[in-house]
Amino acid sequence: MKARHPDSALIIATHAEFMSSEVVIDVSGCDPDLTPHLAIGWGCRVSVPRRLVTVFVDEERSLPLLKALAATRAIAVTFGRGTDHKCIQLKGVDAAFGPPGRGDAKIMDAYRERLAAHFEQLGMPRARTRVYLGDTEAPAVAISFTPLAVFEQTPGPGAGEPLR
Amino acid sequence: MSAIRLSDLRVCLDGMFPSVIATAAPDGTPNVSVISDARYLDAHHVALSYQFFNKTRANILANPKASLQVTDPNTGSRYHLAMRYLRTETSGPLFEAMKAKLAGIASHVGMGEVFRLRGADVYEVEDIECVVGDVAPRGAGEDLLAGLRAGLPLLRRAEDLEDLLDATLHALALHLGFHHCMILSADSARRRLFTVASHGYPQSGVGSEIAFGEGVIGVAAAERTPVRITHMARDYLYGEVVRRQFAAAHGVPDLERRIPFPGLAESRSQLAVPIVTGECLVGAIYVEGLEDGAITPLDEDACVVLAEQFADCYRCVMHLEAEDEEDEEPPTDWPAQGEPLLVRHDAHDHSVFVDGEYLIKGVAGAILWRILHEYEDTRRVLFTNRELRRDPRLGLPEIADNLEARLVLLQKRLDERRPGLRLQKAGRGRYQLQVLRPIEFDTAERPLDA
Repeated sequence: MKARHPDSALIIATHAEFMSSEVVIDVSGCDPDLTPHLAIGWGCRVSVPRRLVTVFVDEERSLPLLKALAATRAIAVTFGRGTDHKCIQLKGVDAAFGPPGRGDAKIMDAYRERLAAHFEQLGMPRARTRVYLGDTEAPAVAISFTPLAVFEQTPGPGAGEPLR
Repeated sequence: MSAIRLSDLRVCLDGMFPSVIATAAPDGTPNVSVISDARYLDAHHVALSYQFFNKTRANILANPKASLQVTDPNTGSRYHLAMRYLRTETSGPLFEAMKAKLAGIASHVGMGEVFRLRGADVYEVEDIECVVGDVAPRGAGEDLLAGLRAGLPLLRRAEDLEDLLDATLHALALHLGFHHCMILSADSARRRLFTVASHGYPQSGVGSEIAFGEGVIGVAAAERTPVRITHMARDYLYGEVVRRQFAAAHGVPDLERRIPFPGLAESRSQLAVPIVTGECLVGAIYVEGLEDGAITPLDEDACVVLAEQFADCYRCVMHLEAEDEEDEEPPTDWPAQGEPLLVRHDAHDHSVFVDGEYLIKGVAGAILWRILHEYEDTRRVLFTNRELRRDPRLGLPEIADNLEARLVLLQKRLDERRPGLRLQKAGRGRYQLQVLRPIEFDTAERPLDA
């Protein structure tokens, strides 16, 4: 993970549609003492030309993760779909965060709506999804990184294998 | 440690939301992974399934720190558990219990041979934080405790196996709220279980069989550990995904024949609990529900307590059944009249057919064939468990013969099918045959001749 992957644009382009769909997003980083931290994402923005992936998190509820990212900048993010367990994981070493940009609120709103509808199909009432996602009025943070590798995370013997 | 108790989060560990674990490699690279089975061990420990050697596995071996996210399926509340990896168990009760659940899923998706557990990773939980939502209310098990308190005395009052089966179903259905349940008896020699009592199904299913290792019930019996599946769609979908991934990687188009679910066709939650006395497997209690998450960890606790009580009472009633009553009751005279019953016996598996209709097979079939011939020869209608147990022609195993369960099965099949024959309890350790129509054997075969 030290060298920048030459195909990061290709990686992003291949998986952008899936990452922006009704997937559960889990974001992880770790402190310098190797203590890992987790947060769920509130949506994703993909910029193919800039080779950047941006995920949004609830600032107040993600403070340990943000602190870890500020210290180490190493990040892992999974995108998993409940209906078929399809899951991928992106990793990067240049995570940086700040306020969401113009238009990001719409991305987050659309994402929450897609996820709530998806969970509803799986038998989860919308009220419960609202609890799961947290207070949608709370301030959000945009975490951006350049993916260096994508890994297969769908359950099975191939989980953990690099994808191209 | 926080004020939140790990025991309050048991329902989160097997909810519809898969648990997510974050770990870190020694070089500081984080990793996120979904856990297929997370299990509450005690107030400070959880176990996670280890099926494939992956990055999570490599990380915890090098750096034991981990963070687990669990979600309450009833509220949507999310929790983060700060954990430390302690060890991996590859044998013993914990490993067997987790393996059994995996095997229960695997047998339904035809992956019995390749879908296996490598170990149960045990973690110490150092802190729990409720990230979002409200902490689960405590005291959810009060109804079950009251149910056990009301139900257990019914079992202790049972005087014979039939009483015990009825009392157990009554306790399950009325006091513990399981509207679909069955009790199966183990035939360890044939490695099969047969249904001896059920509640809440259109057909009683008495006499239906399942092999050790097949489905949730068969795996619970084979491994002698409870198996609970709470989100059928999610758990079996997970199994299907692994099966497809394996087939894609290894080019195996079809691994095994599928096995249909027992009981309810639309079952969404299932629990099978083995009934064990000492070294002997007596049978299993099985309950199921129509909704995801209908059977909770506390329900499992209650059923395990009930199965323990059943096992104790079973020992008592077997001890009683082994003794004939001193006072022999005179047999009731039932005049056989009307068209003769045509009775046929297949010596291959002791199947018995009455008027061309299949009635029963196995040891229960052999018993019926024997007592019918005895009746024809001598008009004798009273039979003792003791004499049947000593009859080598019945093929009973020397240890754990389960004779009483087979007699209850025979009695219930005759009650259900009403072929003109009945079997009734006639005091302790004794049964009376009632022949309502004359008997005609359709071959010259004698009872259980070699």
